[in-house]
This record gives sequence, structure tokens and C-alpha cells, in this order.
Amino acid sequence: MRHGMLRIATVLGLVGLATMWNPTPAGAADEVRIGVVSPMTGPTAKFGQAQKNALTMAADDVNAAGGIKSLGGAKIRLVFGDTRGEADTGVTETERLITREKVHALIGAFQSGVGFPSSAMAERHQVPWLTFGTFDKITERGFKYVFRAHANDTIKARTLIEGLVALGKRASPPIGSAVILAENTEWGKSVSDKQRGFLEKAGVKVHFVENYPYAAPDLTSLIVKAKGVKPDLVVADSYLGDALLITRQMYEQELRPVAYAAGGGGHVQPDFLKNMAKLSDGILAATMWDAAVGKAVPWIAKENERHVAKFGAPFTEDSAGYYQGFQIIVDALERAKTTSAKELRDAIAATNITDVNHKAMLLPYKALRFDETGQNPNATAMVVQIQGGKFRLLYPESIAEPDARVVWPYLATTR
Amino acid sequence: MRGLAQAATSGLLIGAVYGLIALGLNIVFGTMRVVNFAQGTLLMAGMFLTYWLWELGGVHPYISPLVTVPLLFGLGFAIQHLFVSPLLARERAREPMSVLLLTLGLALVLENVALLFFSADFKTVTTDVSMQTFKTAGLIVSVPRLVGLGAMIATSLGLYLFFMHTDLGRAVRATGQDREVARLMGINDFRIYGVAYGLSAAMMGIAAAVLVPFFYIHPGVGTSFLLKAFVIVVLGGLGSMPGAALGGLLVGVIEGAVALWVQAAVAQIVLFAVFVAILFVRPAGLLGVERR
Repeated sequence: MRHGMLRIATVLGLVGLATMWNPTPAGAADEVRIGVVSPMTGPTAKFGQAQKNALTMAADDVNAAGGIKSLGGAKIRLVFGDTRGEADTGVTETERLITREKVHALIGAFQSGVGFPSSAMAERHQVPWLTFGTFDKITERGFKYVFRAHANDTIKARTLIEGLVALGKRASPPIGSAVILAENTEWGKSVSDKQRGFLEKAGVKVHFVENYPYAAPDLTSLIVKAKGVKPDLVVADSYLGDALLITRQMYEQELRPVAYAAGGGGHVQPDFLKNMAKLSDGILAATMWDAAVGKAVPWIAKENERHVAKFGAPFTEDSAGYYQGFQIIVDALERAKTTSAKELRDAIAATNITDVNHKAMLLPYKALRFDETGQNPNATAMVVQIQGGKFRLLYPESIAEPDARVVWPYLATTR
Repeated sequence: MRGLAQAATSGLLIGAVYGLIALGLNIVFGTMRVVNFAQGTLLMAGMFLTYWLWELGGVHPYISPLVTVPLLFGLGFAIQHLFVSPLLARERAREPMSVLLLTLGLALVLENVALLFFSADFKTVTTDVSMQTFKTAGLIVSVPRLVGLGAMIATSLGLYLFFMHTDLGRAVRATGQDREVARLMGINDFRIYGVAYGLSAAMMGIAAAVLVPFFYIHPGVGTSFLLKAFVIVVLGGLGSMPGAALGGLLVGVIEGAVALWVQAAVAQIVLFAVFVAILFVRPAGLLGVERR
């Protein structure tokens, strides 16, 4: 009996040794696998498809140009994990990509609520994770393998408020007071809180921040309350359905602020523009990417044209963000000369890109570096305005469309 | 004060829509003792029908009930006949739990089918009445929501006449009061259930017609209204038609007025607190009849 136990232990030990010993040296991988955690089905599948398009184009480019040169021309293979837009599915898909598909790095997960727990899974398995998702706390957990090159909620809120104040100074009437209407889930609460802080810092009186129940059937009371304080500025942080309802009910209840701004979310989705038509004219919003960036940075215009030719649509804010994450991984792979997780992670952490013509600068900043939390401190956002059913890029001045003029006040043409 | 009057008025108007949905819920509950979780989904189906009629045929939402009401009645009757009745026949309990779960399953299936076919895009319909308002005594009244109140009153009256003065209506009430006795009196209870379910689905056609000009259309839209309708049905009295109508208006007004003083999300807490308090005093609901 004792003897049998010993034999089993020996066999197990040998098996263990065999799995530890890797016949191919890490540096000579013939294929690099990048896991993509995205909503490919479910209510947000449209976004997942756009992300897949952008990444497919980027990966095809790298492979056609001879793969990763420092790895002897290793080709890149994208492996997709479908989150269905659900947090728990995102986590299990992330684990599958890591343990079964053995991906070397990950990009994900579009919704912050999905990316937050999924990136924790990547951290646990020590696989580098490039975030798309703006929730601040994703990079504030002391993780070593989680990075975010683009703006977080704080940066987006700051850009929106600074942009509003700057644009308001050049127009009249200026903004003296504001109300913030935000939906009451995690995103709305955290982003409205930050907007209040930046507004007060800019000397704008914030009458109140109201958190309304998400997907409410009626929001008249909210609008009536706002109307009572006669704000110059209404900021709304809403998902699409609420954004439609608020915009219509503001019109019905004759709440016509000087400026109507949105923290992102529903107000910047194509469906909003299509459905609201004239009522959307003059709404200002924060975003991280818009095709108009190409007017200031020529290669971006060309890259976007290629994307349009291939897929019939421009990059979106999120697909551009996924593309950026992909290029950061490629850049790090070239420098790391290996796919080993630890060294790849260190190479990503040492990213230092200042050339605006680098492909990782599809979302252009002064610099692309990561601080010790994994966030790019130099990331910025931009302010766009809906004019005639299209977005015009107005702020910051350095990348604004030269021929774009701000529409001021809100509904200037129809009021 | 004007703000309060404005909020209360708007609350009353949206409350009328809640009431319409609660009435539909109550017809099924009153006859079968089943809470129909698919009610919100039927409303969604009605809204998409209304939307496509407008988009493809140019049919004004206020005319669409001529088409959607019979269609939804047929759909409801079919659902009852194909899914609910076979289960109900086996379920002997007075309050059939498995049927309740079945309606929940149906709701999930229908909602996902809608997601598949209609996609998750939000749609709105802008008609001549959308965003129309008029002012009276300093109040801004939304025309499409006022139409909603009118439709709710008319539908309630129609239902009252149907239940009180037609043989079929009396048969529905009799089945609701006692299934076995009704059967002994020669009433085909399963046909009656079909009528009740169909009727309740058909009412969603009216609710949809009222909602479409001012609300958005989305596969998940029913959920927003269903929870409110549950509260209203219990508040007004399970199975009580006037209770559902009154409860709807009450909930709308409370919600609207309270939200003026506290955060809109807190107003929901107040609403549910009032709900619990009323049940504490009157367990059968405001207009409900105490059962043995």
C-alpha cells in the first residue's frame, strides 16, 4: 500500500516536472495570441463588432508587414471572448482565454462594469491587460498587470467642464450656474460627482446634482425641479433611453438652458442623433475620439479612411481605444523580444511614446506613458458638439476643427 | 406651489398609463390567480407593432389599436391556449406557482426574440402630437399624455360595461370567483382564461398606442413599467379593476410630487414605504375585497 502511494507520487512528480519544462524557448514563439474581451452578442453586440473590425485591420497590417520582427516574424492571432455585456460572463471568458487559449496579453472589456472584475482575473493569472473602459478604479487597485492608455472618468469630466467654460467665454451669454442630472448606477454617480467638483472649481454655482432611477418611465419632476432654479447649464449623464426622455421632456417643459452638456453615454450614440434630430442641435459632450482628429493629424485621417473603405464605417470611440491597446502591445512585444508575461508586462510599463505619428497615438496625446498605477497621466479627452446631426470637434484648440464654430446657446436655431 | 401642481399633473398623466398596464395585469390575476410576468413583454410587442405600422404603413399610433388590439388579443389567446392552459390544467393549487414561473419564462423568451429581430436599437416616433403642449392655469400639459388619461378612462368604462353587462363578462367574473362552481354552471373555464389573457394582451395595444408618441421603443421597455404595475395592482387591490385605475393615478402623483423635494431615486423609497403602509392598514389593498 505504502509502495503504491509512493509510485503514484513519483508519477505525479514527473508529470509536474514535464509540464514545467517547456521545450520551445519563450523567445522563439511562432505565434502571439492576443485575447479580446468584448460584447460580441447581446444588447451591446454592435460595439463588439466595431471593436473586432478595428482590431482585425490592425492585426492584418502587422502580419502582412512580417509579424513581430524581434520575435523572428511571429504572427499575431486574435482570440475573441464574448462577454455578452455581462460581468460574470466577462470573467469566465477572460479565464478561458488565459487558461485554455494561453493568450499572451488581453484587451477589454468595453463596459467598465465588465472590465473591472475581468481585469482582476487577468491580474490573478499575471497576464497583461490593456483596458478599454473609463471607470477610474480599474487602475486604482494596486495591480501590476492592468494598464489604461486613455482617459478615465475624472479626465473626461475635467475636459468637459474646462471645454464648456472655455467655449462659453468666447460666446455669450456665459455660464454662471448649473444643475447635473445623472442616472443612479455606478457610472452616473461617480461621474456627476466629479463634474460638480470641476464646475465649482471653475466658479460655476451648482444648484444640485440629482440622481434619478435608471430607465425611469417619466422624469417630469426632475425637469420641473431644474427649471425652478433657472440654470445656465444642464449636464446630463444618461444612458440612451433616459437621454431621449430627458431631452424631449426638457423641450416640453420649456427648460432651455444656455448650454446642454453630456458626460458621454447615451447622448453621443448614433441612435440619439437619429432619434432626436433638431433637439440634439447644440448638445456638447465629452468623448475620447472623433474622426475630426484627422484634420489635425493626417495619418489618423488616412487610417480612418482605410477603415471606412473596409467596413463602411469610421472608427468609434471604443474601437479606436481597442486599436490603441493593440498597438501598445505590439510596441512592447518588439522591445521585450519575448512573450513571457513578466517581461512583456515590464515592457508595457516602460512604454514611452511621444511621436504623434506612432500607431498607438490614434487617440493623440502629448505622451503615452504609464504611471505606477498603470494609468497614462497624459491622456486627454475632447469636447464635441452636435451640429446638424453631426459631431464637430471644438476643444481642445490644438486639435479642434479649424472651420468649426460653437453653436451657442443650445437650440439657437430653433428656439 | 406651481412646481408642485406641475409635478402632480404630470404624475397624474403618466399614472394613467401605469393604470392601463395594471388593468391588464389585473384581468389575468382576477380570473386565473396568476401574476403575469409577460405583461411588460406584451406591452413591448404592442409598441413594436405600433412602431412598424407607423414606419412602414404610415399608420398614426392613435389609429393603430384597430390593428394591434385584435392582433394582440389573438397572441394572448394563443399563448394561453398553447402554454398556460396545459400547465394550469395540471396545477390544482388555488394560486398556481408553476404558471407564474411559466409567464416569467415566456417574458424572457419573447424579450430575447425581440432583441434578435429588432436589435437593441432605440426607436422613437415623432408624430404631430409628440412634444405638443398647451398651457392652462400656468401649467404645461403634454398633449400625448393627456390622450393617455383619456384612453385610460375610456378603457376602464369599456371594461366595466363588458364585465357587468355582457354574458361573457359575467362568465369571466364568475370563473374568477370560483373556477369549479363556474364550471358546474356550464362555463368553459379554459375558454374564459383564453379570453381573459387575450383581453389583457389587447389592452397593451391601447397602452402602446398611447406611449409610442412620447416614449422610446426598445426590447427591454416593458420592464420599466411592469414593476410599477405590480405595485399598483397590489396597492389598488388584487383583482380590483377600479383599484388598478385609481392605484395608477395615485402612484403617478406620489412619485411626481415627492420627487420635487427629495432625490428622484429617494422618491421611489417613499413610494414603496407608502405602499407598505397601506398594505399594513388594508392588506387587501385600497379597493380589494378581503378573501377568506
